[in-house]
Amino acid sequence: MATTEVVVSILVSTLIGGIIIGYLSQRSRMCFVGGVRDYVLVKDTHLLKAPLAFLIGAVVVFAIASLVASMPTWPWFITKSLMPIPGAPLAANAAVPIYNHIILAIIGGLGIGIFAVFAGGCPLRQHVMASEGDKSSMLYLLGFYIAAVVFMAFILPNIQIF
Amino acid sequence: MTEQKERKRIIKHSYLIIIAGLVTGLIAALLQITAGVGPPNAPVAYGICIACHGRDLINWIVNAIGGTNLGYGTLVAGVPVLTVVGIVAGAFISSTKNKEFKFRTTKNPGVSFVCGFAVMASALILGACPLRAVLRVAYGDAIAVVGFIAISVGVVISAAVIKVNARRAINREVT
Repeated sequence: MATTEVVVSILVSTLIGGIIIGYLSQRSRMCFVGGVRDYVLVKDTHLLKAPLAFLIGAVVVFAIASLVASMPTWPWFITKSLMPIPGAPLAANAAVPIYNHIILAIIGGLGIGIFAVFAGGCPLRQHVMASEGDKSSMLYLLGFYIAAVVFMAFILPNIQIF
Repeated sequence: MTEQKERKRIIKHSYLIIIAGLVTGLIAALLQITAGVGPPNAPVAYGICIACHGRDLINWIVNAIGGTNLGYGTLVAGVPVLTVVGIVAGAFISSTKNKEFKFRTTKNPGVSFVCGFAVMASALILGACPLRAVLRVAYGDAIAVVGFIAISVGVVISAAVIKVNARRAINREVT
């Protein structure tokens, strides 16, 4: 059971981290699907720098942390081979064959890619645009959060196939 | 003179997006290592995920109001993470401070709604939004590499459709 200090630290640190990320995303118009989209459409690599810098920043922190403290599962593919990191509610049972996880990743990834471009940006960009007063992004967020409830309440119990 | 100014602006903007991406990556990893948004409270590489954190927050609210028992990613005494709230607050502070806040209307509200619904459902199938997909790659998850390639392929498909539609619209105008 988590102590009160842990709960408070998580709430405060995620809120502050979110504010910093939101501020910088608004200033830089950062978008994680926009990079690939702009490169395909107009050969512009500007937005591609954000995911690349994100990857480098995260890898550096994980690497330093694994040197100075204990990071028993990093890097994941060495300790857990090809198993995915948990977090996908459909693939909660990690004991299923590996190709099931690959199929889920392909279906989910294609869905995100196709619909994110039609909406005009990744979920982060949509949150930022909604905060700038864009009504279409606000409607996007409405669908986004309704989908979270519908998926967990109605879809997930019925398609727990893996 | 103006050309020089324009070039300076572009260079500044280019630095800004690298800094934004870098800081977001640092925060995402640090939240796991120092703040407890990771084992044993949550999965690894959970420092940032718009879809998962949004799901945690909305399901916590629905559970609190409706007495339901919807699933979570973080199980820290049943308290959700507040990253999404912070992002909205930070972007709002930034846009009002720089006088960029403006209500903009929409032409096709249904499309936005359906896209939001479909993106959240897809993100929960993959178990990651685009940000967490990159974070999982940083943590060394091979399935996340497949997921990110699938996202990119989806973007290419969608961009091709947009390109064809635009060309058709131009042709219609010409003829």
